[in-house]
Amino acid sequence: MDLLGNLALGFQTVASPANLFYCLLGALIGTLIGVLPGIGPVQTLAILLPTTFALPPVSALIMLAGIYYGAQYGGSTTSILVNLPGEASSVVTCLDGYQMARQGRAGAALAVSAWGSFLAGCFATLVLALLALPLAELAVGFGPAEYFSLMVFGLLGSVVLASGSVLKAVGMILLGLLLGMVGTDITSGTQRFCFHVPELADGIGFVSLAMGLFGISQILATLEKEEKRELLKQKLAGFWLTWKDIKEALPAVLRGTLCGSLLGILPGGGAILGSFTAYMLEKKSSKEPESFGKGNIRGVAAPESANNAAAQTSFVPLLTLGIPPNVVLAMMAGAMMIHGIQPGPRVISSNPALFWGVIVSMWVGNLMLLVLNLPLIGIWVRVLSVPYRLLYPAILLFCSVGIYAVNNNTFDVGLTALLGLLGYVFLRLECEPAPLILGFVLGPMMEENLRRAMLISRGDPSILFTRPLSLAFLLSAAALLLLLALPALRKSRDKAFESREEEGL
Amino acid sequence: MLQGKIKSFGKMRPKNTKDLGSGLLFVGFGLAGLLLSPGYRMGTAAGMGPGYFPFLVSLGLAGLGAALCVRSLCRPSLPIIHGHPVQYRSLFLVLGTLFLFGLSLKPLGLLLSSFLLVLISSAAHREWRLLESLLAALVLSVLVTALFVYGLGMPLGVWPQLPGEAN
Repeated sequence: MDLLGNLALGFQTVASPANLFYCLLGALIGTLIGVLPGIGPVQTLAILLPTTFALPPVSALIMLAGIYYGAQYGGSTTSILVNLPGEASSVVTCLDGYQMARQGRAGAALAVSAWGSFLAGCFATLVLALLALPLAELAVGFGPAEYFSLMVFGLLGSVVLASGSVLKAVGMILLGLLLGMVGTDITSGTQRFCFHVPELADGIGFVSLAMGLFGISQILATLEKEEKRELLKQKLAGFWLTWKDIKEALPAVLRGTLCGSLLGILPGGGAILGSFTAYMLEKKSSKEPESFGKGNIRGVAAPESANNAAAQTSFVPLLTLGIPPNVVLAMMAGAMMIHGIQPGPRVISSNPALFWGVIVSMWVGNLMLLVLNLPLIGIWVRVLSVPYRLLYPAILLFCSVGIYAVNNNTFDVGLTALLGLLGYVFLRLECEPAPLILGFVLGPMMEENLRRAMLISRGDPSILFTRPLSLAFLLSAAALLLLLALPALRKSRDKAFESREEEGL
Repeated sequence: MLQGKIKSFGKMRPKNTKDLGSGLLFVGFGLAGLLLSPGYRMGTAAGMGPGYFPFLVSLGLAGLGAALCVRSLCRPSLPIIHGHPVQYRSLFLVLGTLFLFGLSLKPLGLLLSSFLLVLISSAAHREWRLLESLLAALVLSVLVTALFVYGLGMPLGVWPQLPGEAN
């Protein structure tokens, strides 16, 4: 089968000492930053994006992928030990993980989360490898109308992810599209919304936007809160699982993996949706649902496997269709574009070493995390005890130098400060910035495809409804909106997000 | 969700200020887009000019913002979740130091501007300690300079430029 040959190519790419090093480095730095409370994968990626720009594209993407799942893993560590989720997708891990830690079983909780993540990662890597080729082949046949409709579907899908008002989320998408249009129009060469500022001719920098909306605004919001951390003051030991633990956790890991893999592929899906759904399924299917929230090992195993599986399968839409399904993958898309790679179905054929290398690196990175993280847990705990008043100036400094480094341009630093202020206003108004980033990344592509589709149909918009696939995407998008409007689903969605807020997010 | 939250916070507000605020924000951006887009050639549906798509998007944004504003007037308010008062001091200090860093980087060099950034931004925290910040500023600025200039080889001046010295 061709798959083996492709995977072999991937292994060859990753096995170079440099790439192995960057994979390791990414996973380690990702964990280091991800461990910090309040900083999840999105913030970590935003802060660390510039560090990868000096690398060749393959190494950069391998390192970014490493940062991503490292941060994810670091977030679980924080959830279990401090009861402060580093990121939304490990909120549910807090529920049972922290309880386990309080019962003196922190080691077991960390171990089950590490093993679950690893097993889920292995499976999701396979899913990704298996689905990639057929999907990409399908997508190569897409015309501009199909692409436009697919992007509409993808963007509306991201609304499901945003908490709070649907109207606001759609507004954020549109605002993102609008911000994406700042700069020189590729077709006509006209400078749009530049206000005669020469630095804006290339558009708003992706790094400035990501850092402003996620990095700076987060610092501003955190500075307003009282700091409260209850660090577990007990010796960490017992990273070995008992036979009973394994027997209980393994089925949960498998269920979580399946659930996460499936939800990760959907637009708007990803780690958050995966872990929430897996936890709820696990609780519902249990014979003793009341033991959840009191340190049930299944309540750690299922969501942790699910979020890792979903984190990896969510690469499928990005790498095969060019559509980032959630904000983390939008970051990856932004990074790819900065390296001159247009994410989409042609990556596999034009750049097979990169494609398969990144896929295999995910598996390798998971292995590294498993081997390294449990022994290094002492270091991560010490990182957790660094007070925020020392931490944020360091993050701020690192961000500033990083932004400057992207274009060797001090204008970008000021722009980031402004975008940080905008991000802070969004936080205050409870507008989730994630849909905005997706709109920003997809905006130029949407415009381009709409233009081409209209050119083909001579200005007749019905082309979007007469081509079957395009119609299917638009109908799915309409169905999504309709579903969200249904009171029953609204209620359960709000409930999920409410429990997230109650947990301190 | 509405009911539960209102109960848990125990107060009602006459208007949903957050919806109103976001609505106004969207209307503002949308109107700006609507005013600016026609300045770039609009073209026709078959041959879209650079102003066509921005106009469509701005129209949608302004309309949506208006809908949010209207809704905020008739729907009861969500209670405020980020109940912390705005800390203008930290807002000003953090954003201000970023601007300062952008301005000072070229004339003062990386070492000194990093030192200033850490020192001043530290004051944004409510438990600010001068001595600790001085120490952190010293360590971090040396570290960053070592990492970025000597480690990654970034073309950045380390020391302040003397007046008259050309870049």
